[in-house]
Amino acid sequence: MTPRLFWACLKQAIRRDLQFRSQTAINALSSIGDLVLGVVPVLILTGAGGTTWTGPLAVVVVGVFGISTGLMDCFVRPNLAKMHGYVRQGDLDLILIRPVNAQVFATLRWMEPAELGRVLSGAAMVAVGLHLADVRPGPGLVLQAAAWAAIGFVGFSLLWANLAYSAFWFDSADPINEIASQLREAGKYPISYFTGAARLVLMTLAPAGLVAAVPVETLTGATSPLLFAVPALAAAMLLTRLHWQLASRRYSSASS
Amino acid sequence: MTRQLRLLRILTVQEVRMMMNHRGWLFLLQVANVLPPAIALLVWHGAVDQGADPPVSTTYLTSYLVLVSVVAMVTSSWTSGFLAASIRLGGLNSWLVRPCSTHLSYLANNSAEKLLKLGLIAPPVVVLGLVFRHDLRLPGEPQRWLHFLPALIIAAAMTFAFDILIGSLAFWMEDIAAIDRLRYLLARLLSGGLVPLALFPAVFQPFLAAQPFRFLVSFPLEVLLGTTHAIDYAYQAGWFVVLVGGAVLVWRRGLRDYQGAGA
Repeated sequence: MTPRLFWACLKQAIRRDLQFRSQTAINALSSIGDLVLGVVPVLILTGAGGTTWTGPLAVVVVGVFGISTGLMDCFVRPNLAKMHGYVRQGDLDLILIRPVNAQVFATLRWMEPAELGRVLSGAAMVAVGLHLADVRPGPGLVLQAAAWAAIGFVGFSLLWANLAYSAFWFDSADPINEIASQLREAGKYPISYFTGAARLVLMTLAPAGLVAAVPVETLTGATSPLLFAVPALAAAMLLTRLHWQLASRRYSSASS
Repeated sequence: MTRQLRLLRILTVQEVRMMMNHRGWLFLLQVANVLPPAIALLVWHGAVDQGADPPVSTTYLTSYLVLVSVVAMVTSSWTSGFLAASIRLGGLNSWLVRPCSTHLSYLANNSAEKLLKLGLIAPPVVVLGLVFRHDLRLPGEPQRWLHFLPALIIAAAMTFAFDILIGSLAFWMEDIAAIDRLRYLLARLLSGGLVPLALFPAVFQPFLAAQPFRFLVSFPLEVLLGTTHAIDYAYQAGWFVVLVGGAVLVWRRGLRDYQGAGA
């Protein structure tokens, strides 16, 4: 998918949202409300004490989570949610015949700009939380945290894509998107609350912990080496590519 | 009344047969339903292990979070979107001309799907219960279970009425999806489906005890776990009347304005 095509898709999505303005506005408000209400369970948890995580730092975690998930729900989720329909109804035909990378196009074609409201409110929560927690990270730490957030974003999107590709293998795979969405919610809690196997899974196989918790730990000065994360992400991308190739071979086109 | 019940039975059996074809789909949905309380259990146990001091015991917290997905499933409803579509597209016409309640098919769908879901949600909930078995205490007194059942059925009826009320707004609005999403957001937090209401700070407790969303999920569990007061039953009865009465009023008022797109 070229930048030109991506831009054309984004413009079309914005025009579509502008046609249904009140609906878009309420969706954007709901998306922000989702994030604001989402901070309550985390604040209750940190309020019970027991760890070094304070309320303001928890707000930063939820803020970063809001930025990541807002971007994911704008650019990635609408497409993966359609994967089941693409396969079951034969709509994938219209993607396969285009002169584009079908996998990337199927993952980024549809966008929901109203979800970007959560990115803005998430950024505001990060700013307020950092101020209240009296944390002033230097540019180096901010860059490192951004790198972790990007790894978490791509890593979780890859997991979600692989789950969505199960539509090629099973008939009733649609709720897999709901499972991915609920699993992602684990990312809004500081990772130190998870112990043992749960923490390991959230840092590797289902990297919801990398979406927000690890970037915020990095902002506070805790060092997490990026050395192994980048090759692991590259391997995950390769596996996802292979999964698509293998899975799309099973596609028999429901409409033909 | 007998005819309505007979029709409801026939429609429910028909729905069960149809939903049996979607067992895998329903099972995956139940796995998704169990995930939020499972995550909450993991973080709260992690917090308690590290010295956190929640306002309720670990036993209460664990029992509540293990059972909450079952209660939330039994008291759930998904009618509003379908009802709104049938009003908007004129599909309602075919039910209006029949000598039975318009909502009978939605009620049958709701009951049938829950019957199947009850069997399918059991394995993930049992797994969750086994993982946290050391802190799980199910009440042994039959009286608690006897009180729990009516509270659960009333909660399910309240959610269904709430759904009819929201769906009926389609008589006047083109799209109710955003309002539905807003209701879902509020319900998720205030019903106790995500966090037990007892964990909220004390200053919010009077408000949380009286607001309607509590009686959709949290209240039946509170009855089962033995943390309710006599006044709470009166609150539930009051909200039941408000929601069912509101749904009836809005539905009747809306029907007067309905023109039937396909007519």
